[in-house]
Amino acid sequence: MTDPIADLVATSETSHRPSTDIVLSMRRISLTLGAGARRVDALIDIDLDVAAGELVAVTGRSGSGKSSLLNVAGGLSAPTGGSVTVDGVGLVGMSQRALAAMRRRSVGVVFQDLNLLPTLTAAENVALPLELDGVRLREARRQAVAALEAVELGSMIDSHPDELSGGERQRVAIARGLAGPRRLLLADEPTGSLDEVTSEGVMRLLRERCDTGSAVLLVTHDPSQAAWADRVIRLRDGRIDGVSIRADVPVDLSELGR
Amino acid sequence: MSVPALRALVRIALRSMWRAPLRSLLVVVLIAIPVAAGTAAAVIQRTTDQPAEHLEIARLGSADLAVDVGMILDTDVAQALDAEATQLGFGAYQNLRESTARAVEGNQAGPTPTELASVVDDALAAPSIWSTHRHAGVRLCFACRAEIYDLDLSDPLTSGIADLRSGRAPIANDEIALSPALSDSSGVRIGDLLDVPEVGLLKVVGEVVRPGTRDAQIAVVAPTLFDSLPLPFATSVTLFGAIGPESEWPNLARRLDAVTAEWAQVTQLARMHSVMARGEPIVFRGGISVFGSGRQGFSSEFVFAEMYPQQNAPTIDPARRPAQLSTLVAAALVMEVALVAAAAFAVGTRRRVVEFGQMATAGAGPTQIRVLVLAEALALGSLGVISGVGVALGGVWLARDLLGSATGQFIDHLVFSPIDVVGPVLLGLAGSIAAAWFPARTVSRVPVTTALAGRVPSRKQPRWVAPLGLVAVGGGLLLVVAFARAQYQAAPSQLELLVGVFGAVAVLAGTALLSGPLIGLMGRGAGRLRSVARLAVRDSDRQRARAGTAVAAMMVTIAIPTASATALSSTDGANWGDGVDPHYVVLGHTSPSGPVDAAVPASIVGTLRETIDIADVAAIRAAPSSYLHTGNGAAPAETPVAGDASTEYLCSAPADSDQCFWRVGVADEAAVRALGFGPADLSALASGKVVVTLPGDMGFNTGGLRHYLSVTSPGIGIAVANRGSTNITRWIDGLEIVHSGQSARAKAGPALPFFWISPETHSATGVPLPPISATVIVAARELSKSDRRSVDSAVWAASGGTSRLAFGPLAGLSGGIYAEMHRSGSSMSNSDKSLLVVLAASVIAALIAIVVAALSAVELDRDLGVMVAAGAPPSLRRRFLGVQSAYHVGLAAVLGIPVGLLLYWAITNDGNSSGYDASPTLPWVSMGLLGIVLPLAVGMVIAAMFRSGRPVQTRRMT
Repeated sequence: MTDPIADLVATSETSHRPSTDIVLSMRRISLTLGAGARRVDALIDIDLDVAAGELVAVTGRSGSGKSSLLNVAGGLSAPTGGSVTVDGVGLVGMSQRALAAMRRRSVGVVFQDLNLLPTLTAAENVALPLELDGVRLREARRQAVAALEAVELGSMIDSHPDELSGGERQRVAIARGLAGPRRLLLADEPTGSLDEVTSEGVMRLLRERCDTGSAVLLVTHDPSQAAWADRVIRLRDGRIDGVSIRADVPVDLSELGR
Repeated sequence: MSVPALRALVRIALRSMWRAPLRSLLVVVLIAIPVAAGTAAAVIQRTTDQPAEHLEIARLGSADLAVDVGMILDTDVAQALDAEATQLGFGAYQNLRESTARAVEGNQAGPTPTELASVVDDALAAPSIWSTHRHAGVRLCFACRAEIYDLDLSDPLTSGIADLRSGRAPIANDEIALSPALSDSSGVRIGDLLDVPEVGLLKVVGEVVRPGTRDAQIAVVAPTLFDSLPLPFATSVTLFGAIGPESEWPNLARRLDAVTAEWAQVTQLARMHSVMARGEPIVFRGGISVFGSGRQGFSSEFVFAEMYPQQNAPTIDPARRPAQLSTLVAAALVMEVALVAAAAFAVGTRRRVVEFGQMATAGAGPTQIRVLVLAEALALGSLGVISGVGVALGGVWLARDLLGSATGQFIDHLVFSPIDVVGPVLLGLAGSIAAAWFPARTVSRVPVTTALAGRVPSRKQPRWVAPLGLVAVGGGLLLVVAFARAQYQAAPSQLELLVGVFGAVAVLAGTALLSGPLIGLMGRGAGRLRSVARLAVRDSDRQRARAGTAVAAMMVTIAIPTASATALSSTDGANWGDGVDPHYVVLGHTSPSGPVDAAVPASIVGTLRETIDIADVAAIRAAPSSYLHTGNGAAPAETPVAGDASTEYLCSAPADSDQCFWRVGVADEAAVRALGFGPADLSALASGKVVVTLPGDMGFNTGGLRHYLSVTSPGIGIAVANRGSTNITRWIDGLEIVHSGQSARAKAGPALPFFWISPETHSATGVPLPPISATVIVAARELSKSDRRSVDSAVWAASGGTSRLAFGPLAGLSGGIYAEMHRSGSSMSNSDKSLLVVLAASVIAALIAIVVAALSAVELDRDLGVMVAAGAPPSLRRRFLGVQSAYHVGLAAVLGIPVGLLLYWAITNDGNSSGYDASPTLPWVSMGLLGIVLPLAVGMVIAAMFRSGRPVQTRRMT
């Protein structure tokens, strides 16, 4: 039986060569949830690097640990063991305040839904992390508008989330995730509630952001979405069960899985 | 935190408010409720707080100095006063004094005017303005004893004594202007005719009021009509001289500080009232009484100089103001604001936990999330306090008639100080922020992934919560008791007040802490319940923070009216007094100064016969208050009646004075029978002696304390007002005084001993008495408390709901404590007041329950929708909300009623166990309303108000 992901990767026409500039580095990550009889090992000995310009997809069945891996990468959950580094800064042991600052400056997160604050316009949503980080209103708005124009939403900057389509909302979330100096975007099923055409548009956007130097860690269970990735990590029961690499990406076998 | 970040958070907070208008409105309402209650309480207190000095000053109108010359209408003295009125300086009091001396029979002693003239002349500069008028106490009908004035209402000096409110001043001999209370009592309005016995029909042409006093029963007539009034039952006829406002009263003030008894004698027969600018923080001195020490042999020789602060001066010593109830209300307000706001934010923030999770993923730190919640709390709190203050002021204004009815005042404007508004506003804002702090802290600590899943981890309630609550209740009660005992000794200091407030807050806070464990305890038994009840109890247990704060807020709302109702019912109990022989009921009409001076109409006696079994009805003939003088060198052989320090009640004048006010009654056959005179009394009466019974407002008796005086001459004088050309004075010598050595604790209010003389003695002395001045109704059996309440209601209704009707059970002459019940100054009975307080509290509790239910509905809608989708009936939603609200109100009553009783016990436990104190009387009706009716009513209202549930959609619509 052939590996569909490997097939997809092999047939990808996208040409991109990721740099060796590691944005996210996870070493021997483990995550245990619950205790006693309810103890669950959500992640076991995970090693993973994501470089600038690289789109890494994480796939697996429900309960395999995909979202847990993403949460640990973004500092949303603390790992039980191992270390996480974003832009060279270790997250383990950081205070909640420092983790929040790290998310404002280094990590963007895109979910399937619940991405945007309904009370803010598109531009205000994008500018929020910048403002929370102390950037003046005018400058934050300028950067937000630029980010929205980059995702082709320049005409929707003053629209509220409930005035946008699902695809537009995800594009706003992506723009927010990469606004300012941030280079790492964590996306958890970003197209889960979108139709096929819209989903493709969102994936194309993510791909484009990678092509401009951002790093994207994408969680998906949809092989067609994973096909946009430079690398596909397959999880099973919290462990890396396999790695597929797109055909045109140079492979250092010693770093497989990392 | 940077400015841009703060600005972004404030923007989100404000947008969130506007985006969820219903939730915001509910939170605003929750905060506004206690703020409005607090503001209204403060404004009501200040508006209705009429210290005695204010009322007295109001009586003076705009005068700086007033001189009352009592009981001498048409006498030489009065004529002298009239003659010299236009040029009256205080030097003229020499003449006045001489006139008085001539007028008084047997007056041979005392300092001469010449000796004292220089004192007076130096002291009192001649005033520039002088006007006189007369007033007389008369009865226009039963329960409408009127003070009739011949005021010129256009004279600025009369301003404030009686102001024309509507209509016009009477000018013809058949016209009269009545106060609203008098109009109510007599049932006439402007344009109607008033039938006055022995006078005829008078047309009501105007409405006059005494500012600030709703129940002032005053009337104004033209001077010519006043002259022709027969005044058959006039209790006093007074010339009233007003000086000012251009007089040099500051100089006068200094001189009055140095007033001497000698000076006082110069102005004999006058009562001077002077408005002073004292300049000290406590401006009211309570009055200075100066009684002449001379041996004039005439009872009415005295001067009473009273000093008052300027009406617009800073009036009230703060230490005088806070009563126990105010302390309790202040403490309750603090708790109420904090708990209600906490309930609001506990619900609101949990619902928004997903949003906070989103914020966290966007990079918002815990501090920033806390600031976001607090910013919203501040904004909602601001709206809440503004709304609350507005509603309170508007509500009190709209309810001013009801308020006036309850307090017996005429309220045509609200009095409030900025502090009345600033207090609740600051309290509301601080309470909002403090209440939001804990939910903000909780949600900011929720792990981001948990928050995004919409969950707030439930935490086990610490074991120390219940013990801490009990300790707080116990400690708080001790502090309240300490405060109560301290304030009984003297006006409480600020520190003691703080202790009192802190103690009451501790009691309420401790009880609030118990609400959580109580809900947990109930939750354990939820499995035994069925259907919706199980859901409601389980949900409350699961959402203990939300349910606990809501229950605690309503607990405070219920505790205060419980304490208040207990106080009111116990006041009734004290008035009816345990140990009182309850066979006697006296009905009559009392003036503020006390004496019963009217017969009871047959219609009311008839009503009473339908209420209780009556054995006897006796008319009592008694004079109004009279002066009794025991001096003049004819000292009694035994201990004098007056001046006996061991018997404070023997004389109502100051202890060292030999001037007393007494009442004289005829111990005829009916009185002897009705009042139960014993053999010793009858023997004394038969031998011509006088039986003295003590004391009490009605003056009939207080049991075994009895004196027998023999009547000879000269010695003790009795002077009784008469509208004849001269006073009638007869002499009764004190030959024998039997003093049992008992004494009674001083009781507030006037106390007039009764001086019973036989009909023969009455004829011999010629003391003029009204034909009937009171009615004693003897019950055939002992009256229970229920009987007494029935009597109260029946008489009240039969009299047309007029005020100042008094009745009470007497001990008879065989012993026991005197007791009485007064309805003075208010047309509402204590039961009515209790009901009003309970209803007001019920409305507040119901509002809290409704708003909390609405907030809960928003939070629980999805869960309930799932249940409906799974097959539950759509009515589940409203039944659930109704049952849960009733459950919460019931729990609040379970906690609040005992706490209210405890607070009442603590706050009245002032260490004074003697005298007239009575044990608390449980307000069963109020407790039943709060504990049973209120939960059921709230539950039914909420079940009817809210719509049925809708099944949740299978997929969230985007």
